[in-house]
Amino acid sequence: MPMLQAGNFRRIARGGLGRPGLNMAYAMAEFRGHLYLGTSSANARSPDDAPRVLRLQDGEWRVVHESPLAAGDGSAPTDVQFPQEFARLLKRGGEKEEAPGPRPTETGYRSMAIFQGASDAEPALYVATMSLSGGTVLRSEDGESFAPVTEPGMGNPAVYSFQALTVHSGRLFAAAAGRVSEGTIDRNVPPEAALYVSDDPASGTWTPAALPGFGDVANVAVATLCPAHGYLYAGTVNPERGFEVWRTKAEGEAPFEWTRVVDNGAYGYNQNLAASAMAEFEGALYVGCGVTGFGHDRVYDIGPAACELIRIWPDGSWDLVAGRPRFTPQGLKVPLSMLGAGLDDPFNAMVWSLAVHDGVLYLGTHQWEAFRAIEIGAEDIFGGYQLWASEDGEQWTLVLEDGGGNPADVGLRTLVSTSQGLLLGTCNQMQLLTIMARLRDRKLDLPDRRGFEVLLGAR
Amino acid sequence: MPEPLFILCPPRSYSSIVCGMLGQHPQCYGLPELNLFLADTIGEIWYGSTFFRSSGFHGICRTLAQLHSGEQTEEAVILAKEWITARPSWPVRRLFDHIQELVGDRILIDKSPSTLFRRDHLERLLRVYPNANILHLIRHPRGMGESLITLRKTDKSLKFFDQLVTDAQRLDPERMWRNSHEMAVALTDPLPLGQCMRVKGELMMSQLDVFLPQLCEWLGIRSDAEAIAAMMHPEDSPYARLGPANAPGGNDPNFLQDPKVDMARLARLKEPSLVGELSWRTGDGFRPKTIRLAKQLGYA
Repeated sequence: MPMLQAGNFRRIARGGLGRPGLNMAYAMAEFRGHLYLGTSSANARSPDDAPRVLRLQDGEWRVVHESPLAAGDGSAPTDVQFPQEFARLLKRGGEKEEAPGPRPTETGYRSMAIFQGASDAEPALYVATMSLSGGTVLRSEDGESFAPVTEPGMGNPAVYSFQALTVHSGRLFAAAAGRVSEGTIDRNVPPEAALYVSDDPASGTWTPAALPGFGDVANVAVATLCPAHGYLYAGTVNPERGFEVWRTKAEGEAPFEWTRVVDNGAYGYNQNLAASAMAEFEGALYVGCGVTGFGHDRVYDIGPAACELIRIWPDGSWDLVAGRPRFTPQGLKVPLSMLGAGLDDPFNAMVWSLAVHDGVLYLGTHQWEAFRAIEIGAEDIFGGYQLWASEDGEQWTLVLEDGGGNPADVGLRTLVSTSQGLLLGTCNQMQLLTIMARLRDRKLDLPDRRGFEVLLGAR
Repeated sequence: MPEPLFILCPPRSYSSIVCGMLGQHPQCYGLPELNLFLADTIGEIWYGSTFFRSSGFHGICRTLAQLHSGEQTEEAVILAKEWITARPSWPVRRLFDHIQELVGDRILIDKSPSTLFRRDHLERLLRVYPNANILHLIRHPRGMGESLITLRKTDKSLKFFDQLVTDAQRLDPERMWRNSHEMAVALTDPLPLGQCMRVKGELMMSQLDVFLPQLCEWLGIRSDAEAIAAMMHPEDSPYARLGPANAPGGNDPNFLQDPKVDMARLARLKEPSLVGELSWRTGDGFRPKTIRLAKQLGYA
């Protein structure tokens, strides 16, 4: 099938579906014939910001799970990626002092997978949560009721969430993501780069699938997982030398034997901080990478840097698809697409999502130009996510840009191929942009389009 | 005529051996350090730069002696000096073009560290040669610094240069490393895709069989066994030895003493660490911004 064009996309959710504080359509999956959507809030402090899992049924979104509420003291941890000036204002809710009161215990739903474990009579929907008191994995047999099947943080409540729920060789894998510590939150880097596996998640039994960080403390997180070529591939975050990609056949008992296939951020070094998205396409594993944060990772002081895209073949060799040409021990790497870093846009900091739909590979970016525009006092505010597509992995076409007309829609956090079409889940940063503009005594001249959106691409 | 290749790096970064090897490729011509981007014209360089007057002129004089007279004798160097000083108004590009004419359609390769002495030097290069190929060559800041400190203790011309610069901070090799590479990154990143390539010297030198063919491929020149074999003999260059008494230098002193590729030594090459005390600043380590840049460039 030829690739989808801009005119093939329509919004099937907007404004955070009635909760503009929900800024991210973080996870999506098709389960029992329905689309499920996991949402999140950057700053869930009140019941109005409680994240939800929703189901699209007969054209209507129905809430099937909502974060429980618990008494809060009004305090909120500081996001380590936010400038201090942001953090101060966010703690005050932007404009008003925050009163103690009930607040969501979950801040969002980061990953979804359909899996049938040993105790599951049928395939069940598993959902990874984000929580300041330790992320868990929820399980639902019917898509109506959800219950946790892990302890918070799988025993370590400092683990903020789990990500990359992935099924491979009859097992479910989950990677620890993020860390909550004294007054701060890091949404990406966990206390240790733990990767877990279970063949019976309903029973709550999980075991380490690998040594933390594959035995290297410089691998501070496993950011993405993807089955391909009969292996399970894992992409890491490595601020010392750049991301790594490891793979395993997952044979025998965990922890499994893993082999490193890409190191040194594919010789882009630590400017390629994180392997952030993966998809198998036409016999190769495509790996998108980039820098976390708003083009500049504040924790590790890396960037600004622009994203790159590589592909890995079954024999472990790899090509540079988009990025800066380079000499490597594996030979001269020239971008096959003739696109440089950031797909020729320096503000594309990260490949945030990759998915194959109807024989076409799609790529979604995190693009932070709007922040830069405010920072430098630009007259107009530009930017926003981009959607790219390729029918052969080498020739790429820009399908959507400028956040679909909203520069505050800075990223495509999720791309999912479903029977209904290609789904795009956005990340909206209107709140942060507003604060940033206010700090510079500037009125944000943008339409007030807050909250995530979901777009459906279909003919 | 082909575009030249400029190797960008501070001193003691493997540029002599890399330039020497590339220069022995049948389709290339490796030059000594010409130091021609210090100013816009020959006269401004010749009369305006203390560095050039002290030893920076050796490379261009040896080059012109070799190309004009077919030899690098004191007499030939005197003739070269006379030829240069008779053309003070020549722009830098015209002198390069003159050398190119004498060399033919081979790729000129220059590796003058002075190009990174100041930002306007590199800006001039990019202005004069907007389409030139650029190799940004990097060495670990600890390795480069220790090597430079050692050389300063033994080399007469560097001792003289050090006496001219009394500001200890300006002489600090860490600062030189950081300023040079920050400048190179900032000014080459906006260039069109592939015009500037960056490589770690240690990585390249320890796997010459892997990296030399890649360099050839990038430059669009032969990468067959004969060409690679020629590149393994930088000592065959007419500039890979001390020059006559009135222009002995024009390259790294150690390279001029021993320009052969020492495979055994290269096999032992290891990258040092960014962590720990510096041998040239007791009780002190690298500054955070140096570590930041070094990690960006691939060091740990």
